[in-house]
Amino acid sequence: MPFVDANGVSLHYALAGAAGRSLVLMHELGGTLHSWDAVAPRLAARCRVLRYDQRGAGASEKVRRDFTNDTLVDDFEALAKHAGLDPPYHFVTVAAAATQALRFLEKRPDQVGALVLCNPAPGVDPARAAALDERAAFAMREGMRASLPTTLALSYPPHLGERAAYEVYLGRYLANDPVGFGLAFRCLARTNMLHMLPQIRCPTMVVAGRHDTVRPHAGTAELAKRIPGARFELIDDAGHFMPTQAPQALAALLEDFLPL
Amino acid sequence: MKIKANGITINYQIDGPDHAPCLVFSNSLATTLAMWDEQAATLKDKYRVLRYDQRGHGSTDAPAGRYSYDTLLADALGLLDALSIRKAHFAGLSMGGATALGLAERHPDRFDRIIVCDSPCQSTPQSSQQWEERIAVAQKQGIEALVEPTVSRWVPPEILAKNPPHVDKIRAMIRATPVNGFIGCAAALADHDYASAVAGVKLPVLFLVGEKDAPAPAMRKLNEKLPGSRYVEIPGAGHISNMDRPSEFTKAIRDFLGA
Repeated sequence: MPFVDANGVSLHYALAGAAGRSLVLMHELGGTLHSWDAVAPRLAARCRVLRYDQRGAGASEKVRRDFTNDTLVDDFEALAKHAGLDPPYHFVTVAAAATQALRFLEKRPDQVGALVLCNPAPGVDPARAAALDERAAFAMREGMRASLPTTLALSYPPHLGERAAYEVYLGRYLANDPVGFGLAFRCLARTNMLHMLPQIRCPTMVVAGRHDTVRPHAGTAELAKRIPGARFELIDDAGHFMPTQAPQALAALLEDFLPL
Repeated sequence: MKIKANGITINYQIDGPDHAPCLVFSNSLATTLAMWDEQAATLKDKYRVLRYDQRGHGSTDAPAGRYSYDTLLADALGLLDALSIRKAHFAGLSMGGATALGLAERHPDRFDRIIVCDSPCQSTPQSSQQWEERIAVAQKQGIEALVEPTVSRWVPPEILAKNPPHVDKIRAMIRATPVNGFIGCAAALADHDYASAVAGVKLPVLFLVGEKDAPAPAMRKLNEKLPGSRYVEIPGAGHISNMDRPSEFTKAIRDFLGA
């Protein structure tokens, strides 16, 4: 898996699939491009699949300065250009990564083919920014293990999906740079793309997990109603992180929905 | 104890001497009057502490439908009338905090001092949408689905990581909340504003908030807008600041009422 120096940082990415439409898989906060390991190969048989570690995450550069949602969108654009991945892009996002796809859509509406938002966290009430900063500071100060009860214990109960997949996920999660993790939280605290929901004009599917204890599925269904014409799907065996918890069910939905 | 007021049966509890000044406590969404156990045990030495379960909570009636803040204010006044209490200090937290400020604005003749805790005292377009999402969750999935998301929003990570007993008490209160009551009160929270008129309040007000609670910045602004009011942050506390740091919280109230 190659690296590229793009938008001022080193980004670790994987591009698979020889031909076809451009699919972009964006991982969750605390995840890496490996969050998609059980989904990406199946899709790469039909299209070009780009996944990458967000700045501060996985094997991408461990930054030490605050960044914004716009920075992350710029990272994507620089990476896509380098990788030769052409628009229109079909974005599949997990949780907070929805904010990046929505910002890109706002910036370049003609370059988005479709959106799939898994358990989307499309923005944070500015009134809650300080509370999220608190979580960021806690992770930065105390490390990933101390953060587990308030993060992964909620988003990934071990009984969901394959136990082996959980063990691997937990290992990767604990290997996160706590500062990069905290900076991503701080970025989310200052991001609010909720205004985009009623303005989405491309085909959109919202996917919820029945066992999501971070964003209960009925709330996500309510959110999906604000997107004109959006399709809503509920995966029975998934929680908050469905690419790892229910990869086959998610891949089947993607194959059904995306014009690949 | 139960009493009829404003068309429903309200559950309440009184601790402390009959002739001491009355101090009312009004609970937050998805809790009960038991949230005030520590405050009642301490403050009953000098005050007649009256606490009640807000409409839809604890052992108070939980009629179906969307409630309004006008109704929540009328419940509080109805309770005072039913108990023949002419004047009282009134303290409330979160949903109860907005109840307290609403009473100060609309019915100043019935109160002495007002304590507004952990509430921005107004909804925003964004918070209204979030309440509608939570209402949908309560309707379709039940209260259980709201327990952990709510706890992780309310309790700061330092405290949650240690999981002290009071966090389990909070969980149990959320879990026991009637769906009707949650929906009714969430609808009231989705549409209220006592912040815009705060500058006109004529009573002494204490704004009391957990240092790590989301409404802290908004409450600093409320304090700035209201001449003569007081603002106190409880170090380390989150949204349910009176349970996170009971003695500091109680001291802030005692200082304010004794001032």
